[in-house]
Amino acid sequence: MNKITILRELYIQQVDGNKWLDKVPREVSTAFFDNPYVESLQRSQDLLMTCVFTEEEHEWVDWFLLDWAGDKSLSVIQGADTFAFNTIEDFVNYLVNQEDWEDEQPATTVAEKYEAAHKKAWKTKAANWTDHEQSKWALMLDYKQGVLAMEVFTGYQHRVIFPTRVEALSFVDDIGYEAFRDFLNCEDVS
Amino acid sequence: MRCRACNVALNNYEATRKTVEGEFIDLCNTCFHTIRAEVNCANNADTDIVIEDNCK
Repeated sequence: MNKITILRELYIQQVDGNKWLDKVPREVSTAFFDNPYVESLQRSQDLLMTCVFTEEEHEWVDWFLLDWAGDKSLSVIQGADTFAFNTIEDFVNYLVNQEDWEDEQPATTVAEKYEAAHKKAWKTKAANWTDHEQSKWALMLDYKQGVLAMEVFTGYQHRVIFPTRVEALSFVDDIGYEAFRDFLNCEDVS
Repeated sequence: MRCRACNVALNNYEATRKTVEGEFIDLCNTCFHTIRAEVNCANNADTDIVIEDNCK
C-alpha cells in the first residue's frame, strides 16, 4: 500500500467523521473524544502517519485532513508558483510533484522512525533558540493527567510541545539544564 | 496547553495550529471543527508558503 492510498483512506475516514460530528450534539462529541480510549486511537493514527510520511508530508496531511478537508477553494503560493486546491486530487498532485516525493517510505521500525524524527526536531529547535536572542521565552510544566507539556514561545513564531515528561527532560539534557534555564529566564524548576 | 473552548489537553498539532495570519488558534480538533469553515490555517511545516482563500 503506497502513501497516496493511505492518504485517500484517511480522507474518507475524516469526511465520514466530520459528517458524524455535524449531526451529534456538542456535549456528545466532546465526551466522545475526551477519554483515554479515543485518544489512544488518535495516537495510533499519528504513529502510522509518522511511519508512512516524512515530517513535512505529515504536517501537510494533517493540515489537509483536519484544517482544509478538501471542501474549501484555496491557493497555496510557494515561491513563484501558485497551486489551486479545490479537491483531494489537487492536493495529491501537489504532493507527488514535490521534489523529494517518494511513493513509499524506506522500511524502518516504528521506534527508529519516531526517535529519528524527534531527534531531528529537537536539534532544529535548539539551533533556532540561539538565534532568537530577542525572543520571549516561557516554560510551563503541566503535570495534570500525568502529562508534562513544555511550551516554548519565541515571538509567536515557534511553539514546541513535548507530549511526555521523558521527551521534555531528554531535550533539556541535550542542551544542558543551565543553558536551558538561562534561555527561559525563569525560576529553577528542578 | 488546553483547548480554549472545552479545556481538554491539546495534542502537538492542535497546540501549534495557526491561522494564515500567524495567530495560534488553541482549539482541539472537535471544537475547531465548528469554526473550520470560517478559518484558514497555515501549514506548520512551511513558513514560506502563503495560503489564500479563493472565495474572498
